[in-house]
Formats: sequence, structure tokens, C-alpha cells
Amino acid sequence: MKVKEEKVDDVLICSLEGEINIGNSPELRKAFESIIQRNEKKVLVDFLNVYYIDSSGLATLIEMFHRLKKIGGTIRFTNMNQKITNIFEVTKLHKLFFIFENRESALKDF
Amino acid sequence: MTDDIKSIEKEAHRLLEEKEYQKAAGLFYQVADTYIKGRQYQQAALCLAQAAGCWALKAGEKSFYNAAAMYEKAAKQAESARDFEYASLLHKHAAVCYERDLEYLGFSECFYRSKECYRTFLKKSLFHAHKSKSLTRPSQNPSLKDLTRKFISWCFLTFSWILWGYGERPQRTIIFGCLLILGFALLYTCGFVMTREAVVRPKLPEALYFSVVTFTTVGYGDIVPLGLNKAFAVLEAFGGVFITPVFITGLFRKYLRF
Repeated sequence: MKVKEEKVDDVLICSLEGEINIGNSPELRKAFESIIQRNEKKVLVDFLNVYYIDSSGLATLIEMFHRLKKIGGTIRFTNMNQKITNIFEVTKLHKLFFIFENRESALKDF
Repeated sequence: MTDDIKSIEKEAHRLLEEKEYQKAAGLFYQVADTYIKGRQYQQAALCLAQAAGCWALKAGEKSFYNAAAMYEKAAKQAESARDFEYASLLHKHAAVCYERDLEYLGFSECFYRSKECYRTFLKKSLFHAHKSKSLTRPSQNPSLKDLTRKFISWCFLTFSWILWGYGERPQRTIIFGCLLILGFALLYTCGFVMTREAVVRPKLPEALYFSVVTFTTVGYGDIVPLGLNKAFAVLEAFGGVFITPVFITGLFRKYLRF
């Protein structure tokens, strides 16, 4: 799994690549921890190149969601394929998270 | 072990895609069990939620009991992980599934837990934000509007919890009403009332009688409040007018389901 970061105005876009599972979710947690330490408040997670996420990966996203919320920040998700969308729907996380079809609509919402 | 979990969960997702819902639910349950043993409650909650989703998909329009039970279990794990917002959401889904299956006892309990978890979530975010596990200290406070909204929601939920247990504990309304009657009776003993004979400071039995008459808005007129007791009587009458329908609504809401 790879994490690429880019900044658009005050929004940090975090593009994930590959598979997020129990083996590499600590890596993702580390990446998110560094984002929080840098005091980034607006984070957009791009799932364009993610083809699978397991419960460990989801738990990491939830943790990030709560941590950002506590420091007055916010997180959005975008470009999920059907498989990832189904996982979010079956776990009912789509009701907790802000999910957008594409980057433009997500950026507009910040 | 990590590899085992990884491959089992992947297999569960594959089965879910192939609409083999029952098998997928079994595997998700197995993974959740492993997570619970490793005290990873958030992951366990997510796996159980997926198992519940599988049961709900399998049920179609038939039985939602398994889905409800699994959502309930997932919610309990989320509570163990102290993620009360997610726990509240899962309890709500469990309640909906129980209601679809006409299991009203399960519905009542899950609905109550859902509200209770949300109240805990609000309390934690309002009063225990400093105990958060975040790496940095909050540098930007949440907006005043957001805090006010949360505080009002928390007050409303707490009041609803005390008064009638979110509509699921109507017996609390009786206790609340009795306490109100007793409380006002004690207040009346501090002031004066006018009886047919004279102006007196009422004793507790007399004050209790007057309190019940005022609470139920019967108002015989044999005892008339004086001074500050007039204000207490007005407040109690308002309380009585408000609490009596709350009790009747709660009672019918709960017991007409059966």
C-alpha cells in the first residue's frame, strides 16, 4: 500500500494505493499520525487506486475520523469503487462518513 | 495469525460478492471472534456489522432476527472500543431489524441503548474532550455553534432519559412524578397556606395532600397557597399537566406493541 500526499489550497489530499489490510494498516495509521502532528485540519482521502479494504483498515479510518474531529478537523472520502462502497454500506459507515463521487465535489464541500 | 485473519476476511468478502451470504456471515463472525480474543474491539465491531449486513441481505423480506442479533453484538463491541457514536448507529440498526421481525423486546432494548450511547458520545465530546487520545492538543476549539447544538442535544436526551427512559421506561415517569410531588410538598411546609380555619404552616401529610391535589390539577380549594407557595403551586401544576400525558404516551407506546 502507498500513500501519496498533495495539497490543494488548505486541503490535504491523501491518495491511497493498493490493498489496505491488517498487514499494512499500521503503515496507514503512521501516515495519518504524521498528518495530525502537522496539524492538518482538512483531509480528503482518495480511494481511486484502492481495490480492497478490510476491517483493520476501516478501524484505522474511524480512528483518524475521530482524532480529526477532536481537534476541530474534518475528513472526506472520494473515488471509491463499487466494492469499497459496498463494504462501507454493509458496515453502515457511509452514515458516519462524508463520501463523495469525485474530488471536485469533495473539495467544494470543505 | 495476521495472515489467517487476512485470508479469512478476504474470503468472506469474496463470498459476499458472490451472494453466499450465510457462509460470508460465518467467516466474518469467525474473524470477529479472533479480534475479540485479541481485544481489538473496533475491528470486531466492524466484522460483526458486516456479518449482520450479510444476514440482512440473506433475509430479504423474511427474518431479520440474525441480522438484528449480529448488529447488537457489533454495537456491544463498539461500546467496548469506546466508539459510542458507531455503537449508537449499530444499536439503531439492530432496533430496526428487531422491529421488522416483530421482536419488540429486542427493539425496545436496542432503541434505548442507541439513545444511551449517543448521549454518552455527546457527554464525552462535551466534557471529556481533554481525555482524548489524540496526538496533539486541540489547537482549534470546535465552534460555539457546534458546542451549543451538542449541549442542547445532550440536555434534551438527559431529560428524556430521566423522565421516561427515551419512551421505553414509562415506570420512570411515575417515580419522577412521585419525587416531584414529595419535593413540592416539602417546599410547601416551609411556607404558609390558608385552610378553612386559619392561616397555618402545613405539616407534611397536609402538604402532601395539597401537593397531590395540585399535581393532578384537581384543585378542591380547601387549602389555598399563600406567598411563595403560590409560585410553587403554579410550577407544580405545570409539571403535572406535562408529566401525566408523558406517562400515558410512554405506557401506550411500549405496551400497545405487544
